Amino acid sequence: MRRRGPKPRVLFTALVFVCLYAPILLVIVFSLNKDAQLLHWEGFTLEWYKQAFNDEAVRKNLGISVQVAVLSTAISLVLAITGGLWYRNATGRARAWFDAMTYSRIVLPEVVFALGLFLLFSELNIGLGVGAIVVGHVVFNSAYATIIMQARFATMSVTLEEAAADLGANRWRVFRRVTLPLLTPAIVVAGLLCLTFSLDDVITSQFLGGTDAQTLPVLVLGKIRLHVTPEVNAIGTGLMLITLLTFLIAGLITLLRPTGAGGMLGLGRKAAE
Amino acid sequence: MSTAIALRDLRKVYGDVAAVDRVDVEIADGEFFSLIGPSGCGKTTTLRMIAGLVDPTEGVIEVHGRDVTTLRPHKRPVNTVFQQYALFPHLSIFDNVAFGLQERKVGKAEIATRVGEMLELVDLTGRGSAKPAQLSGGQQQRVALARALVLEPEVLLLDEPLGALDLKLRKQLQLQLKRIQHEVGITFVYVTHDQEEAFSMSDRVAIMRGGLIEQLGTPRDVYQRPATEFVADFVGVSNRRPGRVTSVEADGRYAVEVPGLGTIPSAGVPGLSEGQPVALIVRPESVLVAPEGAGRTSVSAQVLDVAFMGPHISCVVETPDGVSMTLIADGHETLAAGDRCDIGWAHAATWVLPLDAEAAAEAAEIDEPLEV
Repeated sequence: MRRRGPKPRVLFTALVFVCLYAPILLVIVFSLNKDAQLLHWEGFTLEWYKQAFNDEAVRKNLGISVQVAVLSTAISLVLAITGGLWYRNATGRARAWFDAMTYSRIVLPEVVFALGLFLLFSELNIGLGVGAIVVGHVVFNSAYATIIMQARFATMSVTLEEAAADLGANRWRVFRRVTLPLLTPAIVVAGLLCLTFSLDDVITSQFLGGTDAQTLPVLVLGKIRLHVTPEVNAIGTGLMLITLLTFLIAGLITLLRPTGAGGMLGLGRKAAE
Repeated sequence: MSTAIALRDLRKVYGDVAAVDRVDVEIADGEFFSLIGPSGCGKTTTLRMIAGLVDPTEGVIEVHGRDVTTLRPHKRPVNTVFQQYALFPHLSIFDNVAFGLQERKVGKAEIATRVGEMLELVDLTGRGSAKPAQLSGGQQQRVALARALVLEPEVLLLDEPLGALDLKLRKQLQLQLKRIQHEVGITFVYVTHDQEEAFSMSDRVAIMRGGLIEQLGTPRDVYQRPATEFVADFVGVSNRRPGRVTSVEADGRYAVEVPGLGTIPSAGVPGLSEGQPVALIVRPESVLVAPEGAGRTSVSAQVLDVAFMGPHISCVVETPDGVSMTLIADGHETLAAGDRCDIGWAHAATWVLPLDAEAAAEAAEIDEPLEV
């Protein structure tokens, strides 16, 4: 005999998803709600977005967030690429150490690294602020970027680079004309991921921002300590959209990457034909 | 003729294994020279040392008299055609071929002309704007060739360039390679594990084993006058009959006593001494069915197995003393398993070499680790 209706496992999965996404949906809905008390639906408005956009503090902190994200991403990518190049010729022992240090930056609690850096900077009398946050974000971002880059390096044969050297390219030219183009898809994906992680980080930014440098998520956290305003919902929705967009781009690039190493260049080629 | 490449006591050691051991060769200008041997024999390592992609542990590499041992790959007057072509996937065919010229800062107009000429030489005119992935294996192989030849290297190194292609295409490209080599007149150093391929193109071949050159000579030399059992087995199927030298003739020929066959006069490796255990080898195509006559060895045999190959049949027969031999006969020969027949071969078709059972076993082995 067959039972009617959805199976328990379907129901359970649905419940989990509702619990996960309902709060997010609520944030979006209330960012568009006229009711400032966040109690009832009183009609559609973009007022809160306008307010958030005109808020001097929000604009300043968004600027800091972007600055931190771009800087930490750039540094992380350089570390991941140079690390990957080194890794290929490293001994097994050195590789094991490198892997352990990479994964520990992801596995260990972020608060530990944040606190550690906070104590270190105070000990060395290095001022907190944008620079300190960037260093903090590089700790985890470089680990994620490294893992993505390693995956690309692992599928890349050195033969192409040997061929370039054989054809008369010196080491820099080989890197510039062969290695870098082959790494491009991985660089784009890792970069977008780093930007995302940096943009919505709270813990490290909170610890290392000091008194002047506040990122947007830290500001939001501060704002809801007093009371949740519709403006916070608008900022939250905005951040979410930015994050979603970068992930979408990263996903598209990974999905549409043609076979071989063409990557984005491959996409361009198809468009040109 | 002047020397294009000289390898002097070249050695490469990985850990405590010598991948290449005291290789000492001179390759003449314009020669088509092949390094052959089973995988792991050191042939690819030798080629990569000439290209500068592997640093030798000891020894000297000279190109046209100039010591290039410590030069980086991009400074060497040699270019390589890699096994899997190694075309740059993100560049067009034109840019792949132009790569080396661009590195040399050759002018745009000249690059266009020279790349055009090269694509014509390898029959790929008009495919310049395609990407490597859009070409067939054979076409990609020709691009790899064009990319190396356009730089007019003093020596072209080829690392199993036809390895990834099917048999028919390989045969075609072998002819094309030989034609191109004639046209450009450049020294080719060719690495392959396929002796037939090497024979059909090469002026000389070196058979390598365990990092050493076991024999170096013309294809005819190594096939008909192999120095060792390993070479005899590697370059083709051989019937081997153990025996003993009974006398050394004044002209350097030997009389060999082979159990079951009597005493046979035969040429052989120089320097064998009386009483030495040897192997008498006869190639299957030299073994004929029912030939009687002067200057021949004849023996009756029973057919064990017959394989029809098209133009010919390959038979395994057993001589009365229980030794099996392989022979190749015309495709119209109607032998069947169980038949009795007389077989024989001309005395001129035999060759005697020192007995070495271990080497023969090694040559027959195929599953060896890939070389580094």
